[in-house]
Amino acid sequence: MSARRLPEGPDEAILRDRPVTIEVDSKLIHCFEGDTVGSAMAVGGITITGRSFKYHRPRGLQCMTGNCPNCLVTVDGIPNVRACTEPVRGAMKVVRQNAWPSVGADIHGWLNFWSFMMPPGFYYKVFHRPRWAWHAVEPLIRSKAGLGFAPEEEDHRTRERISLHADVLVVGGGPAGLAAATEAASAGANVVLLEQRREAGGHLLGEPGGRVRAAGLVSAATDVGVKLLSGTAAFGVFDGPIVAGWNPDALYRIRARHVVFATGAIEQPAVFPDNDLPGIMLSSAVDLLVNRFRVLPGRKAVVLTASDGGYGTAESLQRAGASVRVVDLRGEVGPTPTMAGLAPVLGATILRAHGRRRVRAVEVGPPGASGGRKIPCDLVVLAGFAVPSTNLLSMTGAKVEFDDHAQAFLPVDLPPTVHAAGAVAGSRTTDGAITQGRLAGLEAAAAVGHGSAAASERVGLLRLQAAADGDPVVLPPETGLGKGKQFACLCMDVTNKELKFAVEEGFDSMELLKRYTTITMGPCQGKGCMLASQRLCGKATGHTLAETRPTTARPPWTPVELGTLAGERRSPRKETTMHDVHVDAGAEFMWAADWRRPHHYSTPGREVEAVRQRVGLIDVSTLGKFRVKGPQASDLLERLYPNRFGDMKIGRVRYGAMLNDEGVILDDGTVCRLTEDEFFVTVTTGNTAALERWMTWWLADWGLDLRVLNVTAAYAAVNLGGPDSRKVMEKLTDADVSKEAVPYMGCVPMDVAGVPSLVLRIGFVGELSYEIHFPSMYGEHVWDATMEAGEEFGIEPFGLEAQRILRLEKQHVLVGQDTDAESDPYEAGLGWMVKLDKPDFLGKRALIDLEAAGPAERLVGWTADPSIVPPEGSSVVHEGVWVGRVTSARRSATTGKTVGLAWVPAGWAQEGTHFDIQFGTVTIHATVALKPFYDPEGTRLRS
Amino acid sequence: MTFVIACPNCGPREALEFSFGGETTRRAGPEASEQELAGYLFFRDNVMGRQIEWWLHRDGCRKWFLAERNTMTNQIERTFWPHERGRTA
Amino acid sequence: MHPIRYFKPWKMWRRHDLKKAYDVVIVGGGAHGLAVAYELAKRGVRNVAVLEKNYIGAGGSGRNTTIIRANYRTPEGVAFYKESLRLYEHLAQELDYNLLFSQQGHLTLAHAERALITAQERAEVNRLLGVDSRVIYPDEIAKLCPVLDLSDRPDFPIMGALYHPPGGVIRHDAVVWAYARQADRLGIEIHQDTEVTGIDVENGRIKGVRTNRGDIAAPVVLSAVAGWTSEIARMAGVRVPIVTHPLQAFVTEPLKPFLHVILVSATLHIYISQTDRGEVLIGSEIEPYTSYSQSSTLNFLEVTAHHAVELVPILGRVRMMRAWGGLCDVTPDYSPIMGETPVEGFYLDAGWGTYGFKATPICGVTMADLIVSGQVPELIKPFALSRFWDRELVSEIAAAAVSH
Repeated sequence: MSARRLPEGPDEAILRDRPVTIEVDSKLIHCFEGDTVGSAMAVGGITITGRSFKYHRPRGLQCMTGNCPNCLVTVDGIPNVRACTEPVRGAMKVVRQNAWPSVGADIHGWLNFWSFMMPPGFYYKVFHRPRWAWHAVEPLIRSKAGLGFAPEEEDHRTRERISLHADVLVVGGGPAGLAAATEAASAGANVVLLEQRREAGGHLLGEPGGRVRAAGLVSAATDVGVKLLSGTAAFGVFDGPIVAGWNPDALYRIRARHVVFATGAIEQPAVFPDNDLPGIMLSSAVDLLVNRFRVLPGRKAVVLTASDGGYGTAESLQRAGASVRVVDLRGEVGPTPTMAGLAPVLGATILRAHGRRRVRAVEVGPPGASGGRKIPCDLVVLAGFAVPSTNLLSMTGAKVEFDDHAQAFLPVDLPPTVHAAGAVAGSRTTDGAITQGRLAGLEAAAAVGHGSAAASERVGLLRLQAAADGDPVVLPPETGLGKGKQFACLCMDVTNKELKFAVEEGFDSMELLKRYTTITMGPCQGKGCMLASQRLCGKATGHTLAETRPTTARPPWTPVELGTLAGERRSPRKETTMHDVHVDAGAEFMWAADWRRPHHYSTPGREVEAVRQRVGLIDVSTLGKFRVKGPQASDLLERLYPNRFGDMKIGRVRYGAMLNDEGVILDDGTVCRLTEDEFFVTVTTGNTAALERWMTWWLADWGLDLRVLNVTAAYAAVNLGGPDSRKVMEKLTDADVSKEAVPYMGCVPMDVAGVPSLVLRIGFVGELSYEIHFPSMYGEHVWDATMEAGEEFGIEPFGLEAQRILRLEKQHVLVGQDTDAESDPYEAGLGWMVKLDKPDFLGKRALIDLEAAGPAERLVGWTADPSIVPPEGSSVVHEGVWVGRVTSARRSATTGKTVGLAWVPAGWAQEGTHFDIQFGTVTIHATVALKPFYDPEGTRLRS
Repeated sequence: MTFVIACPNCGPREALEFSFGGETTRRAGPEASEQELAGYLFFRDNVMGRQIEWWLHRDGCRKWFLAERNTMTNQIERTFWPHERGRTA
Repeated sequence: MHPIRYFKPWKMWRRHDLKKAYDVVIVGGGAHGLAVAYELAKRGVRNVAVLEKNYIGAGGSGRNTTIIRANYRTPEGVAFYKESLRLYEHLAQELDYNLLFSQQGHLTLAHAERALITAQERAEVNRLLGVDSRVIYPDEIAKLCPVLDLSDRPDFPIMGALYHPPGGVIRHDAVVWAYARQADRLGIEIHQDTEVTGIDVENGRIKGVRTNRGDIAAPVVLSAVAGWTSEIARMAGVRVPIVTHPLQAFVTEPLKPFLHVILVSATLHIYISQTDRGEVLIGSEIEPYTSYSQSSTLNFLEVTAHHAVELVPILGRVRMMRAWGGLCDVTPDYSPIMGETPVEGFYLDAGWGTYGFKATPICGVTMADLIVSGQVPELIKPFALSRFWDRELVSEIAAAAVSH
């Protein structure tokens, strides 16, 4: 076993007095609090952390920073958890992914050996001829998709949604970010710092002595009041600009006046045959394993580097007891590397790796050599090839330009409120990053009004120091030597050969390559493969790296749990002020727009009978209600409705439908004239918000002198209907409710049950009825008083279903159900209300044409045998062809028939026309009935 | 929709509080020709660039106003009341 | 089967110098433009240039959520999409490219009585026109999709669904590439990185186009540029009844297949499917404001994630991995605009809202027929630009408003 726990060290972050045991694929691993699942696996000697996406190749820890896809595991049923950064918890159950029966003996390992059969896009070229072949193969191909299994349990975690405002937001808690935050906060700015890892400090956390230095920087920041959100990853910059961050408990939406991006750089692997073998790691991983977690990931190490940075990792390894060879791409090096007897192989690179289940040796030689020296090893460290993390910066609108010195695309043209500092801006030393961070922090603070003369002076000094630092970057060759697979992309298993193949096919740009080979589209989202794919694409198309721009940066920079994005939302759920009495009365509820309304109390049939025979009561508080008030109130209504309102008398009610300028019906309702200058308008429940927008929009456009007030919530309403309703009213009020005092289509203010109310005599249900509007707070009181007064007459509460039957028996149209986005009043049988002789109203111009053309279809009533009720939405057919549709249908006990409304060809709109309705395989015969099915002359509602 | 709109009444607020009313049009009155009617009802400039459009501060003062927005960046250049149309447009 | 031919790279398409004149110029190298080019070539019209300002499939073709279905609401819409679905079913053979068409079935969930009525109406219209769809209820829905929350606990419990078994998902990019390859083989020139900067019209006739790579003379120009139709039409002096709205989608990290049917909810404004890579693909309705910005918005991610978790609760701990936006040309009646314009020789294939990808093969056939014969094919007569003057709209709002 090559990996084991090292003795205590000065930089370790594990609590040796708090042991934890976790289970990885039924193997128990004893580790400590402070370990991650990844470091625990290293302690337990587990080198294969998962199998790869396409070829099921063994993969091991590579980055230890949550960027690469190699250690995605399922933890307690949650798939695709990054083991390397997931802290251990007691009794944790970890399952490695994408292998069966086990990661050690994955049966799909054969895919690797047959991979020559699978050039990129091979699946586009096979199995489609003959046609049946694909149907046979598709399920098998599909079953190979995906990494972890979908969770079996739903998520019960509570997630917050937090909005923050800051003067300065710093993204990234490495040395540059901490320095920026400290400076900005010292200057007096309100500063928030986002750090995706659980501990701030960035790359310092893996360096010898770095942990102490990081802790110093962190306390300097928090001492001056920086709000540090660690374990919270910034995943996107959105319009606003808003920076969004997340952790499993909360979604952060942060609006800051200035933002400093100190997002660092991400180490990149090198491309050579079998560069994906377990045991081949980035220096970040080795630094963290050795210094922070105190695990030795290998005993014989080869370190590939092109900068002095790699020697630090080599020294750490050596100090921990490993034997180390350094391979340096540079032909000559300064004095540092030769210390400690690390005699490097100069001017050389790793040409290829050897090994099956982990690396056993590497071949080392000059770039491009046809062969090299084989060095046995069990650990390969790739050190110092990093790409600046410019993605979030790009989302702000910043551009990137290639920088020769850094051999990387660096941010340029930053928006005026955006700053960049540290490795993302090209700095490659800790001191350089801190200098840049300080500068950005001071500048950001000054820009939000926290500048000073002393600060300006320091800005000047820092500018001088903050020029790009570090030696020119040397990148390893684009590819290595020989036949083995050279992976550019570990997420999707894409090799250099495959990229070359794809370019030859014609996919000769980064965007096309990405879509064809799926490179950069895996879980790492390009973090570990953008550079390699750019370089290989450039090589294949004869372009330089500078000419091969990265693909568009889009959120999320870090994958985000849907549960965090979703938060604890619920849809609005409104209840009227009488809701509790409906509950007590045993109502079944249903949705009506965003309201909960009683569907029925007893049975719809019994409720209909009560209204027709005696008296019933329904809560109609959800109706949209508006007061239209002002000197030009009647002018507005004249323009909004096709019918006339200017001549309306005070105390009258008129039915009206609002149209748009296409002549399409938007809504219908009633309008009451209360005074010369004031009207009370009701609209359909579900259209209230839309109609408020509509009316106020025209009011704004026309600039009339009046107000439209939405009083929906201020007033409750009930409808008391049925032949005995007057008797009930007489008990509820001292006012005269006779036919003469409150005539049909009249409205009278009066006290009802002691509550000041507006009483409308309108007849949606087709009986003598009173719609009573009164202040909402009296909802229960009026309901109870009415039920009590009606008891002796056999009153019943009725719900929406009974109301629908009642209205259908009267052929009253439900706008939105019986009409749609193209219905005009002539087709819908509402032509009588259109007064084309008015000077203008919404829809007039269109109606002139529509009237002249005459409707092609008509909405008509129909009756059919009561034995069957076709579902609403059934077809009206003629000789097997669809010619119309049923919009409403109910069995009507009152008339002993099935009744409904349907759209039919206009020529059929004749009393007694027979036609066929079809649904499924059933055909029923229907007969057109143009007048209401019940009380066609309307004598009952006028009584 | 996290860009900010300055309601002329309530000041800068997130766009989520507002409802979009579309680019401004010239209404075809009762005397309009068929061409003018169809043009008003259905045809829009739909410019790539600066557009004068209606917004309602739905979750605020519930007032309609006009905004000039760059449709490529969603940047709101200015906002104003309908009665200021003649003067500022 | 051709057992070994895929070991070698297939030359999919070539790059060319721009000529001074073509018989037909197609603006827009998406699925539609390339399908028309291919169909033109099949009809013997081969001196054709497809101009793409970016790379082929960069626009709506590569950004849509790849759902193919025919369960529309109006007879005109159903007839058109039914034919498109039929062509799609044979397209892999026709183009000799496996498009990974997975006809797993399509469920339009109804959470409200009105939605159930619309589902019933679509089922009936579909059935009469020979399209397989029917209304099903929670017990049957549970069998098709056990991960759905069918309890009464969500804000809007599921009451039923329109089930359309032949509905499926296809690999969108492959459709683009397959058409491009066959068009290239038949002699069509595909010009990427070629942006149209102007259109020349003389006496009401099209003369040619100007591009960043030089001017081209052409008697026939077709605009097939979803999202940017208003701008291209403006260059030709044609006004269109179109507004441009962004539409967004995202995918999660890949999971082993667990969702074997396409889910759509008009109430929650969302559609969910699982791709052939295992990613869960989640899309939404168009944004409520017009814009040419293709950036994702945070609000979209929040609301869409909320609705996705409400429908499929196990998605709560699954991570969103990639998000993007595209542009949709939306017409007043949610139906496309296909055919002639007041400028002779200038044709439109536009107004595709969120449903253009589904229509790709039939657009190729009908637009090529129109250009070659001068006769408007029956199937696309209802979609003429002139309907907005004649008030003969084809309302697909109920079936298309939530896009998929």
